[in-house]
Amino acid sequence: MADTLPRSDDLEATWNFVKPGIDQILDRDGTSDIKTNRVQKVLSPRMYMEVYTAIYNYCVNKSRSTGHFQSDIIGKQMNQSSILVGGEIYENLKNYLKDYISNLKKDDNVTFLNFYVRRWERFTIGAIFLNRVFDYMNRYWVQKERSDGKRHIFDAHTLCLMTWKEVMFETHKTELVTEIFDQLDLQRRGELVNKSAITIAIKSFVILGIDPSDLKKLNLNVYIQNFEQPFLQKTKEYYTKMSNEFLDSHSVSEYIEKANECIIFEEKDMILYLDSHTSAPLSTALNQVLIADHADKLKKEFILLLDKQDQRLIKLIYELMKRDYRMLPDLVDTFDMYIKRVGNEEIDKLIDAHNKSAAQDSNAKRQPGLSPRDYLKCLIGVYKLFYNITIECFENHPAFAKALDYGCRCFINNNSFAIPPGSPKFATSRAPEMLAKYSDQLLKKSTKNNEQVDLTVDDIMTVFKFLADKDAFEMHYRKNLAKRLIHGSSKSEADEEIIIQRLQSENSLEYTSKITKMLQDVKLSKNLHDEFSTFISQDGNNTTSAATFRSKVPELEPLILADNVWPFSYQPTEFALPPVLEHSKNKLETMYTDKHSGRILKWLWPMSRGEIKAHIGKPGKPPFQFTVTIFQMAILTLFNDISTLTFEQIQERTNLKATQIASNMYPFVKMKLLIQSPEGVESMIKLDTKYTLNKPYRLSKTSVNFAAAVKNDLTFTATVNGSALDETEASEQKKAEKELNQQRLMFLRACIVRIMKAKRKLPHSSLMNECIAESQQRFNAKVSMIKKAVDNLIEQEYLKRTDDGECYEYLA
Amino acid sequence: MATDLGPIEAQSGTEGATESKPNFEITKWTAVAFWSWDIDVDNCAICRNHIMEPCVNCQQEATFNSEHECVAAWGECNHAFHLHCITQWIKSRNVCPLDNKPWKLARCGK
Repeated sequence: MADTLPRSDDLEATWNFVKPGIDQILDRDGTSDIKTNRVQKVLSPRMYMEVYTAIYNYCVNKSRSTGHFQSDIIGKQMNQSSILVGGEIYENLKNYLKDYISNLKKDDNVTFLNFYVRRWERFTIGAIFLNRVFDYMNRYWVQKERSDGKRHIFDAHTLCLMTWKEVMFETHKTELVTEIFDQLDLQRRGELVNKSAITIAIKSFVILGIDPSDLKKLNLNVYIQNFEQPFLQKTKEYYTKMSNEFLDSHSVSEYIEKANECIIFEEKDMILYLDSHTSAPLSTALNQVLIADHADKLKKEFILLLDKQDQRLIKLIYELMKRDYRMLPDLVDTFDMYIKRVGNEEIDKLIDAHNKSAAQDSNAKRQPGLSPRDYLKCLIGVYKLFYNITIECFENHPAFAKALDYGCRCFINNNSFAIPPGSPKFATSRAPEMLAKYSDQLLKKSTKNNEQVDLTVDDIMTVFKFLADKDAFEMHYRKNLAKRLIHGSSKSEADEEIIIQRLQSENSLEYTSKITKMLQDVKLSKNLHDEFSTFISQDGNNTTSAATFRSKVPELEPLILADNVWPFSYQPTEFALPPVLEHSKNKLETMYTDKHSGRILKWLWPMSRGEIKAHIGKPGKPPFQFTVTIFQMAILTLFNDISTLTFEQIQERTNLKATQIASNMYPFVKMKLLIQSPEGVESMIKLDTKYTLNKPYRLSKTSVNFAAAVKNDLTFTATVNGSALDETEASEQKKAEKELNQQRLMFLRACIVRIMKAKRKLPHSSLMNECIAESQQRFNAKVSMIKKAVDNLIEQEYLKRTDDGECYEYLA
Repeated sequence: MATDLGPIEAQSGTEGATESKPNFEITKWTAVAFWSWDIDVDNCAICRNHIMEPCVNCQQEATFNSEHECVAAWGECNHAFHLHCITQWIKSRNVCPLDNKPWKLARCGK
């Protein structure tokens, strides 16, 4: 090392002066330890100062003198006023670096990777110091050159890297990359590798990505071209081979776990070596070779796992498929189909089991239908099963939630029980009816089978949500509700209201409007009952004593219902009310019409019932309690005065139709309360058939419900003949269906008018779509029915077809 | 019937009393009836809804509280409409929509 600084204008002297310093900075003899990278160890402060000063002096001196010293290398553009110098020393440095790097030789006993990494680390440290030593040149000469557009001139640090890239990297990259891949493969097989070497080598690719035109811009070209692309390729090859081999010797379930492990390994461990740029393409590559390529097998396995209810693996398969949004729809479809299939299978099983038990029980002549409870339990069971899976395994993913919804909707509304095979095309599903029936069982007071009512309101609402024909449910529900309210057989008013509220919030205010009104009618009637009791006792005070009056008039419970709200219509009935009841009925009428002007009352005698105390047992026994229809009441009270009556007499005094009398008397004859002579069903309505009161009457029970034995809607033949009963039930169903269709037609017409009024003119298909959308909350509108409604409206001149026949126009 | 009175009062009566009781004694009965407005027509001519159902405006709100009840109204011409409907109507023309005679409210349902 020279003791004195060289002449500032002597390039050779200057270079000779600084060269030992540079040697030391770059550790040319390879003696310094790689880890001692602190300034003092790289270069002593004094030496650093001297080298820096020599370079500074050289650049400054030359710049001070005139331009003719300028080197030819860069001289062509040196005619500007500012003259900066550094070209020669830059060239020297460049050549020095080339020479230095190309002379780096690896020992035979180390791998190239290790050699590369060790040298690279030392070199990059040296590069930083070189940059500082050449700081003056960087700041003036290099900057000037670059701003003059010479993009191949770099600051000392970049020059180091560029030279490294050119001399070391470009010549040895194949070797280097191959060695890295070998290491990565080793790690994939679970062997120990030099992780830090791999990391540093890969990192060097990123650092070497220099954009000559903009040094500050990060550029991954080197990394992507030389490493990332082959890496992805290798990874694909590796896992394609691995997965195929694995699947040959293992089950798909095991593969699911394996694939998951591999992915976790790659994305947790491998990614540490890589630039963040690679993480997305790596995932894509893994998805392709580990999942998408085996999608068919995975889907098949998915079904098997659903069969097995293996939630852990279902979740795993979902998580694998979720990685690629293009794979999810297939899985969702599979799930949807699966739900439908299982739903239908469960129902079929239920029907089979039911048929078998019915076949064994040969006593039952008429096979009772499937119990609504069993049926609903089956539906809810399937729903809950898949609901759980959706929550637990699919994180309640919207697509799966939708599939669950859709799948349940399908099998709940359409299965081999709801619409038996071979039904007409537009058959109505029995699902709403079954749900309504079950709701009735839940809400009705019942003496038997309490343990059978084990499904809750929540369960009912669950199924309700899936019903397509909500209007049908409303109709059936209202029928049952009417029976409960009129016969006072509702278990609790609070429960009734809870269900109504739930229906209301699930559907709409309008949906429950009639149901609400019915409950209100009953409440009003209760108030009326209280008022009437006071009224009649006051009335009694005026004539005889209150007590006397009350006893003379049996207690009257009025049920005054709003016409058109309840699910039955008024039919005038010829009937002579028992005289003992006549008075209070008239009083009630008077009081009611006084209270509400403009209203008229129409008596629904077939709905009325009462209780009778029968003092016909053996003397000393308590009286029997009979629950009877009002017609039965009229018939029985006839036997107060006389013990034997002919049919003609009964008819004369009650003024009822023969069939009505017969169906009401049938339970009396059957229970031997009245002895019929001559016997036989066919002679029941012969005018001269005699009926005698069986007194003293013997019966183990003290209370009998005769009213329940008569169904008001059954005809005379129905109670006698079983097959006729089936027919009535069928015709009842037909009637209900007809009524429903009528309502739907009305609804659709209103819908169409509303839509057309707003839009004025609409093409056929849009109108259909809007109608279907609007009616969704109540039922699934069929196009044929909408067309019928449209035709109706055209006839009534609400609408007309446009001349081209493709649109409708609103008139008026 | 007056002879029945005593025994019924004495419900837990003696055996002697039993003989004077009728065979069948009605203790309670429910009288079920429909009420409807005393009108021949079914529909309100203004809103075309059934007169027993709330008028179009009330239907929308689906309110069933008794204060806001949707009742029928009769004119002196004996035509009937929803009270809400005819009230709205006579704001623009004070005649009965069906016979064009001056509207005079005869009575209102309640």
